[in-house]
Amino acid sequence: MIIIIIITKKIIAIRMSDKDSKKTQTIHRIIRLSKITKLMILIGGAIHISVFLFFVGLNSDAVQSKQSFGDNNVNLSAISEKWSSYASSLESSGLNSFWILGTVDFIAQLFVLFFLFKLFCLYEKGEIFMAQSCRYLQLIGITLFSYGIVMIFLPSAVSFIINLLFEFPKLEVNYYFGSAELTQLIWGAVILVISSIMKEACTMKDEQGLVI
Amino acid sequence: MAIIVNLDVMLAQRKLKLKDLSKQIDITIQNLSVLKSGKAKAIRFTTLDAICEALDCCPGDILQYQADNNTEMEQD
Repeated sequence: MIIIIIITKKIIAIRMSDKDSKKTQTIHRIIRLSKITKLMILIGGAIHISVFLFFVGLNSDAVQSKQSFGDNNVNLSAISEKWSSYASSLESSGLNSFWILGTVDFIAQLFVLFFLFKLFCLYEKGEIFMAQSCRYLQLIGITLFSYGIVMIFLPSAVSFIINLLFEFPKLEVNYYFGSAELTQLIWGAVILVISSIMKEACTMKDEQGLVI
Repeated sequence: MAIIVNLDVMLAQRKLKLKDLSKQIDITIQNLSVLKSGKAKAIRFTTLDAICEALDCCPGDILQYQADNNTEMEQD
């Protein structure tokens, strides 16, 4: 009886190793690259959070794009050069422009990083054409697209709220629409389309599995 | 779907089990089960050939066309 169990276990182990060997080189490459990408996302996210919190806590002249923490620049478009005049007027009103303008930007980027991390976790497991991975891609697309829209109207929304709540010198209600916002919208739309294509591919793969 | 798979009938007539057929034609029991339950989207000629050879029958014995009500209504 024990011998039969041992033999069965060995057969199962051999079959498992056969299955592993059948995995194509491409899949192995994807898994390897996904591991590296996941690690980079993790490091990027950690730097992003720490730098943002550092400047929010510091409340220094964090209105310029040149603010940096060691070699790591804060890559937030809301504190780039074109926003600096707007940020300066917020600062002159005694408000932390970095916190007000950067939070939306920061949260959106954090969401994208989180979804990317989850997506590459799935890729790392070799689950490429799965409904869940399509869902994460779709979420990244939605986040980027809505982030693009929000960035257009963020200054006017902030001005409106501040003018409503505080009695500082009135801030201009304006909006920004340039190549940066357009690029954001394009990326969002492109990723949304790719996620739809992936969804279609998943359906095709599922149907392929039902070909006997 | 308008195509019905009569694999279970053929197996019953020959007093064979799915497991036996699976061993004979070297197709996993899971795949044969999908085929038997009518969930399969397509069948390869090689699979059909192997099943026909094992059961000594024709493709028409395994696959049967039955018009859907919707199809009939469209034709009317």
